[in-house]
Amino acid sequence: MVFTPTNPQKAPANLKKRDPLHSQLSRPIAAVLVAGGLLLSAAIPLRADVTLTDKQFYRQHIEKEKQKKNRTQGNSPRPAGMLTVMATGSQSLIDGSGLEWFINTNITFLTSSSASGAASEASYTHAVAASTALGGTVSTTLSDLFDGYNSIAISFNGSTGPVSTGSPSYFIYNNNGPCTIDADSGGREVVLPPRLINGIQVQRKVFVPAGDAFCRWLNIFTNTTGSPATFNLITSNNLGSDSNTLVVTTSDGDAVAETSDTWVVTMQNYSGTTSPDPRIGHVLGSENPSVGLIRNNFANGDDNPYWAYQLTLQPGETRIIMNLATGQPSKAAAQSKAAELAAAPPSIYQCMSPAEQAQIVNFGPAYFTVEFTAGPNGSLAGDTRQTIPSGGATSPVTAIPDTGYRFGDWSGSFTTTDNPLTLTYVQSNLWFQANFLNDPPQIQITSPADGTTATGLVTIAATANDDSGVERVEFFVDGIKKQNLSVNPSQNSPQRVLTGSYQFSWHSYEHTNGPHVVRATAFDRAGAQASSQITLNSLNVPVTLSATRGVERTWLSNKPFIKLDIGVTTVTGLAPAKFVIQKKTGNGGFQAIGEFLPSELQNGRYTYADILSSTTETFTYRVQAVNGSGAVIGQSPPVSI
Amino acid sequence: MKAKLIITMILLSTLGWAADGKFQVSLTGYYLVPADANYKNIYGNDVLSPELQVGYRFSENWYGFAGYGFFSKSGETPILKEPTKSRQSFISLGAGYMGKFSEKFGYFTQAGACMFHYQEEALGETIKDSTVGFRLGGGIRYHLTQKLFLQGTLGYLYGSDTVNETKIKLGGLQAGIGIGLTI
Repeated sequence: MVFTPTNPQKAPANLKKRDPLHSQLSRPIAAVLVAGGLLLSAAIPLRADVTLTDKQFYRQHIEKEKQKKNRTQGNSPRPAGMLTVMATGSQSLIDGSGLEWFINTNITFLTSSSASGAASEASYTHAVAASTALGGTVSTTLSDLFDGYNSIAISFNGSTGPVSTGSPSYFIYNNNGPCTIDADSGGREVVLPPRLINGIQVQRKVFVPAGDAFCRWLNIFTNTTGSPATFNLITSNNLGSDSNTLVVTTSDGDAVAETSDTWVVTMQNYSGTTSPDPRIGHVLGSENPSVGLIRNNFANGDDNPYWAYQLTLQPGETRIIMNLATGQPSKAAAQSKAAELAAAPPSIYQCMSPAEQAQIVNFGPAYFTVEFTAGPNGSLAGDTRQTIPSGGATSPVTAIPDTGYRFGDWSGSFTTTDNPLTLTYVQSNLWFQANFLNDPPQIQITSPADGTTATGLVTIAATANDDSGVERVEFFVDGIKKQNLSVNPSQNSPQRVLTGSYQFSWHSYEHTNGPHVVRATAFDRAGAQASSQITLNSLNVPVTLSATRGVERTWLSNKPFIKLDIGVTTVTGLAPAKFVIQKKTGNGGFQAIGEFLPSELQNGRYTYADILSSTTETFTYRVQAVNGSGAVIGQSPPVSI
Repeated sequence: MKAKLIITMILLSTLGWAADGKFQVSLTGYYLVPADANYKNIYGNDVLSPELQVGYRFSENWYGFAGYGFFSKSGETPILKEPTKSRQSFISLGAGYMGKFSEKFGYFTQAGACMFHYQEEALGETIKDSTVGFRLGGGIRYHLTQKLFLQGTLGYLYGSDTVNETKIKLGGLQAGIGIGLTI
C-alpha cells in the first residue's frame, strides 16, 4: 500500500491519510513506550485509531522541540569535544547564515518523510532580506522550510519511490537508537547509529557547518553479506511549501527535474508578493558521478519530491550517497548556492574522513590545486600546477638547481627535502617552493706548508674554484684582513673565474715571533664563502724603536731633532748585515734616512738623531734589519712622533 | 786664506822697503778664554791662538800696528754628541804706546779695531759670517839683543753678532808670550 502524504490545508477532512502502520496497535505504541522517551510519548497519542497527517504530526513535534529548546537554551549546538548521546527528538544546528536545522534523531514511528536523520524543520533565527515577487526584498524571518526532509528508505526490488510507510518495497531508516554528536566536528555533526537492513548496514551522518549555509547528509551503506548487493536509495520529503511548491529551476536551466540534474531549486510560490518560506536548493550530486540519479521527481504543487539512486555493493564494500540542501532568502541565492555546492567545493567535505570522501559515489571527488614554484637559482621539471582529486597523488616535480647551486628543500605548505617531490593523498590546496642553495667555493692554501717557519717576506699561495665563479679571495693573518684580491672578470669568460690562483705577500716581520694563523677566504658570486688556513711560525730579528723630540743647541746653531732609540735582539740563525732607518714620506712610502751596522750596536742599542727643520710636523719612522741579500728579516713597528 | 796671504806680502814688502829700525814684527801665542758661554759649552773654556803683528813707530813712543790671528776648535753637541767644528779669525788695526823701564826692559799698550770672521760646522750645516769689534791690550817686552825681543801680552778681543736670533760673542780674554824683531 502506497501512502502519499497530502496537504491537509486542501484535503477534505475525510480524506486525511491514516498511516497504516500507526494504526497497528502493538508495534508503534510499544515502540514509542519502549524507546521513544517522554517527548515523543507526549507527541504521539496512545490510541490505536490515531490518524495524523505528516504535517500535523510534525507541527506537534516541532512545537515540542521548540519548547524543549527554550527550556535548555537549545539554540546553541552541543559543545565541541563531547560525545553526546541524544535521546529521541531532534538536534538543533544553526548554519552560518542563521538558518536553524532540526535533525531528527531516534525516530521510532514509521513515517515516510521524517525518519531518523531527516530535517523536521528549518527556520531562520533572525529576519532576512527575503525576495519579493516585485523584485525587491522584505525583512522577515523565513521559516517552515520543511515538514520533513531527506528521509531515506532502501528498496531491494527496484522500486524508485515514492516511499510509503508499510510498503514491503521500502525499508525506512528508522528505529535505530539514540544518535551521538561527533566530537571531532565541533558539535556540528549528528551521527546516527547504523541499522542493518537485509545485510546492508545503513548509517547516516548529518552535518551543518558554522561557517557556511547548507546541511549535508551522508548516507553510508556497507554490504555485510558475502555476495554483491544491489538496491535503490529513495529519499522522501515533505516541503514546507505545501501545495504552493514551485520548481524554480534546475541545474540545466529549466524547471523540469531530470536525472541528469545535479540540483533543483524550489520555493513556496509567492502569495501576493511575498513567500514565508526559505527558498530551497536541493543538491543531489555533481557532474559525472559514478552513481547518478535513477529518478528525480519534483513537480509544481507537489510538496513531496523524491529522488533515487541505485547502488551495487561488493561484499564488504562501503559507499556513500551525499545530499545537501541550502535555505536562502531568494531564488537567485538558492540557485547560486546550489550550483556552488554541486560543484563539490572543498567546503562540502569538511568534517569527513579521507575514507569517507573516497566512498562518496554521487559526487565527483574534491579537487585540489597543488602548485610548485622554483625559488631563485633553479628551475622545475614537471607539471608545476596540478589539479588533484581528493586523496590523489601528484606527478613528480623535480627541482633542478642552476650551475653552482644545489637543491635545498621545498617550503610552503610544509617542508620536505624530497626531490623529485611526489605528494600522495592530497587533501587540500598546496603550494611549494623549491629552494636552492649555493655551493660554497673551494679554496686551498698551497704554499707554504702548514707549520713552516716564516722569515721576512713570505708568499702565501692559494687556489680557489667555484662553479658559479670566484668573486674574490681575502687573506687574513690572525683574523685581520691583510689583502683583498678581487677577480678581474676579463681573466675568464664570461665574467666568471671558475678556478684561479691567488697570492698574498706576507710581511712576517710585521708580526711578533711565534705562531700566526694565515687564512685565505674565497667568496663566490652568490656570497658563499670557504676558507683554508695554515699556521706559520714567524721568526725575524726583533727590532724595537722609540722616539723622543728635543732641541740641540751649538754655538751658532739651534736645531730641533727627533732622537730614535733602536733596540735589536740577536736571533740565532739570523744575521742582519745592516739596519736601515726609514722615515715616512709625504706619499706614504718610507725612505731610508740612515743606516748602521750591527757592530755599531752598543749592548743591542743604537741612537740616531733626525735633525729637523721644523718642530711642528709629525713624522713616522721604522727600522729594518736587512740581510746580506738585501732582504728584510726584521722590522720595528712604525713609530710616529 | 787669499786675504791673509796678501796682507802678509804687504807687510813683508813694507818691511824690506823701510828697514830703518822703526818697524817691528812679532809672533805671539795666546791662551784665550772665549767670551761666549755657548761657545765654551761646546768647545771648552780655552783655546790657543797665534797672532802675527806688524808695527811702525811714528815717534819715540807711539806706533801703529796691524795684526792677524785665529783660533779653531772641534767639539760635540751637548745632547746628541754630534761633531762640531768652529773657527774665528781676526784682523786688527790700531795704535799703541811703548816705553822703557830700562835699557832692555820696556812695556807697551795698544788699542785697535778688529774685523772678526767666524764659522761653525755642526748638525749638518755650516754657518759663517763676519763682524767688527775692538781690541785692547798691553804687555812687557825684554830685548835680548838690540833687535830681538821677547814679550808677554795680556789683552781683550771683543766682537758680537746675532745668529739665529741669538747674540754671540767673539774673541775673549787672552794672554800670550811672543817673540819679536825690530827692523
